[in-house]
Parts: sequence; structure tokens; C-alpha cells
Amino acid sequence: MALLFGGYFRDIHDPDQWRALFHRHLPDLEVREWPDGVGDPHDIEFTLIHDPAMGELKRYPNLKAIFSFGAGIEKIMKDPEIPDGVPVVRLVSKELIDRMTEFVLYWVLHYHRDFHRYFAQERQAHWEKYRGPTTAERRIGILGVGELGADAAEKLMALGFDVAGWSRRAKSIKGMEHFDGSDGLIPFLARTDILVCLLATTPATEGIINARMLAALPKGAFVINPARGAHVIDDDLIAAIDSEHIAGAALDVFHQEPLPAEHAFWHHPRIAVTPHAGSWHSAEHAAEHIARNIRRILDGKDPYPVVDPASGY
Amino acid sequence: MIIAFINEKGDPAPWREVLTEEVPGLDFRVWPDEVTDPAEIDIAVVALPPPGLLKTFPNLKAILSMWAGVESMLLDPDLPRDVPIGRLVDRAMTRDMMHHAVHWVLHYHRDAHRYAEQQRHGKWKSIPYPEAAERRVGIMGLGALGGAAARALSDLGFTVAGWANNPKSIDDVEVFLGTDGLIPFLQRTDILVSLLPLTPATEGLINRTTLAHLPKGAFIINAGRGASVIDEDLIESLDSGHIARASLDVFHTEPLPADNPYWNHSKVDLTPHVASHTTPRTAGREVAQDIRLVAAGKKPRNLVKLDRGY
Repeated sequence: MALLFGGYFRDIHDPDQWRALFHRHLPDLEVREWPDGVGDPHDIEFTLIHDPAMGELKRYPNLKAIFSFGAGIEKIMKDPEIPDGVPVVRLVSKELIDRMTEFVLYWVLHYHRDFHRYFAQERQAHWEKYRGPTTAERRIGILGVGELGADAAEKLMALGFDVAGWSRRAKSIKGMEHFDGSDGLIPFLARTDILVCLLATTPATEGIINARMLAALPKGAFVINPARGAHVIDDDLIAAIDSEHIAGAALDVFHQEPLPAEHAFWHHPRIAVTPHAGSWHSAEHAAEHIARNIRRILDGKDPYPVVDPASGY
Repeated sequence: MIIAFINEKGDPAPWREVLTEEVPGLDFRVWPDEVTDPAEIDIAVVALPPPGLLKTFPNLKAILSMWAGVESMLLDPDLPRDVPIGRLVDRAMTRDMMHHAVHWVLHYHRDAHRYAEQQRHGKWKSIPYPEAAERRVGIMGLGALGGAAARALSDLGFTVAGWANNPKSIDDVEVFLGTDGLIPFLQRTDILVSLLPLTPATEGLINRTTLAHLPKGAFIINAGRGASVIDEDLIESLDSGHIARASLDVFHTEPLPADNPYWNHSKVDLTPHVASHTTPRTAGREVAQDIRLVAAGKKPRNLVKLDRGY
């Protein structure tokens, strides 16, 4: 029984560390390194490869599951030849959700309470108070109500905000107004003062934050995107901010990462750039989580959460 | 019921509107112009009443503060000591203060100040940080405001303790008490949030000695009162690197004078006393409820105890 591990994934790419962690949870599991240490393809029952080459996954006839390093699986799903019937398993742990929710709460409170303006005026030794809407009047919109979006929505409601969500299919979260499908998108945006994008990347959501959508937000709205850079048409967002229709944006993810030095986001006064730090898995938690799913498979149970091939997330 | 509105710096119009709407039949008089006979006044609704003024109303049934902080009123040597004083506890204010505390704890927990600096230099580098449970937050002052902040931070997974004068019980929050509890409380605190009222016991409490008991690299968030801090001591601790950064919302003198060294200090995050504020719309409803209680012969809710100073 072997797991094929590989592909640079940000800071957690030390194969020896992963091998030791898997050994702790599953002593019988052999960890082989992709692409150089594959050995006999028949031995490979699991893969944990950040960005596998096209057609790579069909080379392993005994594959039982394809694991992702994170919540996003677009680097795996781009391969049209993923073997049929092999589950693609996302990595969504409590740790990942908690850290993402911290990021979302921070930026919502930051904009809600005008801290972006206080930071600017501190540099000029200027003392002036701003009085924005009350918490109950501030409408937060969560674009994408999966595991991450649902947790952020619940914590924002606990802080007293008026929260609505949009996703492709109908969802129900107590206390949250829900909009769904393409018909629901514009009404959802029209009632949203702070938009938080937590969508999975699929062909349907690519470029969803574009000029038309931004125009549907009320004047003075804020955009927070810790999901994927591909959701945003960068030029449209900059134009909407420069025209003062959008008041500011906190962006953690980009079409190209690291964000190229010449990109206009870096030095825009109303855009906050963070280096894909919205959430994060420690190798310890990630290995434990994946090991638990491997054990479920060995016990004849389904891993969780498995990607639905029809929706792509 | 006849009330005197005593707030020389505040606009009475929105208060008149909300209080007369909430308490039908209320006779709302603005002091001094509309108060002809002080003996008629049943309740004084006050913010910063001039010293000696309140004793001139012989038939007061209650004094209701429009502010959460009552320390300046209590300095009045002629304050009538037998009239119950109600302090404002406004749910919207409590929530605002809780948000302020959560924002700054998350700001330091998630290195937002370092990311802002990196952005100015076009630098792309993620900074490792512990899970919330490994970050020990300490709240000084566990009244209505501190209690709400402690609960919210604990719900987000932080390891939260509080320091208070009287025993309190909040789920998952360790409570340290009084003088004996102060040093152990500081020693286990990575992010210190002060929401203390100003009393003789809290004045200058954040000083060289107490700061030295915090672990190296601790953060300070002060949204209570400026006079709790000895400014020179805090600046010295920031300069030596013992304290990593401070978020200050309140100061000895406000607005903060232009030549104050906090303005240009690279490790100070400064906001202009905005952690929470009174709005007549929400606070008026709380004051109205106390007026109704007093009219029914009862005492206001959040009674000030003169011996403890809040």
C-alpha cells in the first residue's frame, strides 16, 4: 500500500516530514515521492500531489483515492482524464476553516469600523471619528456557502451582522437569507455592503467578480477575496475602485502567485494585498486528516468531503 | 416625570425625540434654560455634570449617566450620596467594544501590521502563526464590556483569561482576582486587552512594573481609559522590544496633541477614541427603560457603587 506524494505546495513540501507524519498514523503506508520515486505504478493506491501533470493520475490502475492538499481542487480537476470512479477528496479540516474564518472576520471588522481610514489618518497625525452604519445595518454577503462560507456566516451572525449567502444550489443556514442560482445573484449583490468571496473555482465561477457584478453592489461596498484569484477580473475591480463605486478590497489570492511585482494591486491605496495567507494547514493536521480518510477507505467507508464530478467542487 | 437633560456639549434634540417617544408623558427639560425650579426635577440625565450642580436638585429620585464611564462625575465632592446612580450599559456600545477588541486581537494574531508593511515593499511572504488556542488573551476588566469581549474571543478559540476585582464566572475563561491575581494574570498573557474603568485603583496600572510581567513580545490593546497607562513606561517597553506593539484608542488628553510621541511611533496603532460611542438612538432606549423603572418606584439597572468607583 503506497501513497504517492509530491509537488511543491507553499511551505509544506518537506517529504521527510510528511513521511514521518504518515508513519505515525499509518505505519503500513509507504510514502513514495512523485515524480522520481514512483516505482511500480500498481502499488500506488493513493495520491497527494499538488499539481499533477495532465494524464498522470490514469497511470495508476489500483488507485483508491486522489487527495488534495487543500480546499481547492482545480489543479486536479483540470485533467480531463481523471480515472472514473476514483474519489477526489478535498482537505477541509476544522483548522483550515477556523483560520479562514479569522481572516474573514478580521477584514469585515476592519472595513465595518473604518480602520482603513484610521490607519491612513494616523500617518498624518489627524484625529477624526467616523460613524458608519451600525452592526445590525451592515449587510454582509457570502459568495459561496460551502464549509468555509457557512462557518464564516455563522460567526459573522454571532457578531451581530446581517448576513446573506449565495450559492449555485439552495442551502439553508439558520438566520441567514439565502440566494441561489443565476437569478439570485443580482438581488444578492444589491443588498450586500461587504462581499466575501469563498467560492470554489470552477469554469462557472471564473471571472464572476467582473464589471457587471461589481456594478450591482451598492456604492461604497467592499470586496474581500480569500478564495481564488481566478474569480476576479482584475482590471474591472481596479476600475470600480478608482471610480469610487467600490470603497476598498482585501485580496489574498491572485491569478498569478506570487503576485508579480509590476501588478497594479501592490501599490493601490485602497487595496490590501496578503500573500495567500488566508488559511493554512499545518502538515500535522493535514496528514492526520488524510490518514483518517485513508482508514475510512480501508474500512470500506466513503472519505469526506468528496468532489462531485458534475459540479466540479 | 420631569427630567433634566444635563450635557453642555451634547445636542439635546435626538435625546428629546427618543426619550419622549419611549416614555409617554415625559417632561423633558434642558438644563439650564428650561429648568426654572430645581425642586421639580425627578431625574437628572447627565454627561459631565458641573461639580456641585447635582446637589442643587432636592427631590432627585435617580441620576442616569449617558456614558458608561462615570469617573468624572464621582469626583464631585458634593455628589448626593443617597441618590441612586445608573450607568449606561448599551448593548450596541457593548457590541462595538467587543468588535474593537476582536479586531485588534485578530490584527496582531494574524500579523496584519507585518503584512501591511510587506505590501509597501512589494514583498510576498507568508508568516507562520499559532492556532488561536495557543494564543493567550488577557482581558482587564470583566464588566459588561469585558465580559462580552472575553466570551467572543473564547468562542473564536482563543485561550482567554480575565482580571477583575470581584469573582465572575464566564465559560472557558479563567478569572484572576484583585492584587494577588494581577502578576500571574500578566505572566500568562500574550495579548493584553484593557477595558478598565478609571478609578484610583486603575490609574497608572499599566506601568513599567506591570509591563515587565508580560512575556516578551506581548501586545497591548487599550480601549478603556488613557489614564490607566503611564505613557513613558509604555514607550520605553515598546522601544526595548519587550512589548511588540500597542493599539491605543484612549489617551490622557483627547484629541491627542499633535506633538505627542505616540503619533509617530512605529509600534503604536492609534485610533481616535472610537472603540465604542453613545448614540442617542440606541442609548436613549436604555435610558428610557431606567426612567420607566424609576417612575415605577424601582431603582435603575447598572447601579454605580460609590466605594468601588463604577
